[in-house]
Amino acid sequence: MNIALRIIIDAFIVLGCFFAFAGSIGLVRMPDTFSRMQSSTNITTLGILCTLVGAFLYFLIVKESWGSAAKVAIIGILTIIANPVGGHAMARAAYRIGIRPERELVIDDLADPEACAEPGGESAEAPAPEKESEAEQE
Amino acid sequence: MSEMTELIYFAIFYILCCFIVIYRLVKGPTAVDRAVAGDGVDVMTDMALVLVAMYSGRGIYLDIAIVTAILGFLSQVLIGKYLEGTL
Repeated sequence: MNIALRIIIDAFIVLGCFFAFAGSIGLVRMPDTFSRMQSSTNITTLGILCTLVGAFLYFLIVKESWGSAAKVAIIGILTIIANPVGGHAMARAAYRIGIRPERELVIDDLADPEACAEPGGESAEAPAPEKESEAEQE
Repeated sequence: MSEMTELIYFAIFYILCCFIVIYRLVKGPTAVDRAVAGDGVDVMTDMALVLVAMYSGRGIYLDIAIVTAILGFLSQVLIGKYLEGTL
C-alpha cells in the first residue's frame, strides 16, 4: 500500500475521531438543552463526514471496491440530508414542551402561534400550552 | 483482514465516546436530552461499524450501518413529533 495514501486516510479518520470526542465532551458538559443539541450536531456533521471521507478513499483506491464505496457514499449523503431535519424536529419539540435556554432569547419567532404552523393542520389555532397538556395525557 | 491494523483502535475509540454519551443518556433531565444523546450513540455506532468493515474487509457491516442510519433519522423525527404532540 502507498504510504502517503495511508497517512491521508488515517488523518481523515483521526480528524473525525477528534470531532466526535469534542462533541461527546460537549454533550456531557454543556449547561442547557439547546447547547447540548448544538454540540451533538458537532458529532453528526464533522465527525461523521471526515470518517466517511477516509472510508470512501480506502474502499475506492486501496480496495478498489466500487460497491462498498457507493454504500459509504449513501451513508454520507443520507446523513447530510437527514440531520438538519431531525435536529429541527427535536429543537421545535423542545421549544413546544416548554424548555427555554438559560439566557433570554433575542428573537423568538415560535412565540407567535401562527408563525410556524403545520401546513394544512389544525395546529394554527392551538397554542403551545394545550399541546403540552396533550403530550402529558398521552 | 487488511494491513491497516490501526483501524480497530479507532473503532474502539468511537465505542468509548459512546460510553461518554451514555452518561448523558442516563442522567439527562429532559426527554429531549435523552433523545439527542441516543441519536449520538446511534451515529457513533455507525462509524464504528464502518471502521470494523474496513478492518475486517467484510461488506456486510456497511449494510448494517446504512440501516442503522436510516432508523436513527426516523426515530429522531418521530420522537420530535411525539413530544410536540402532532403525531
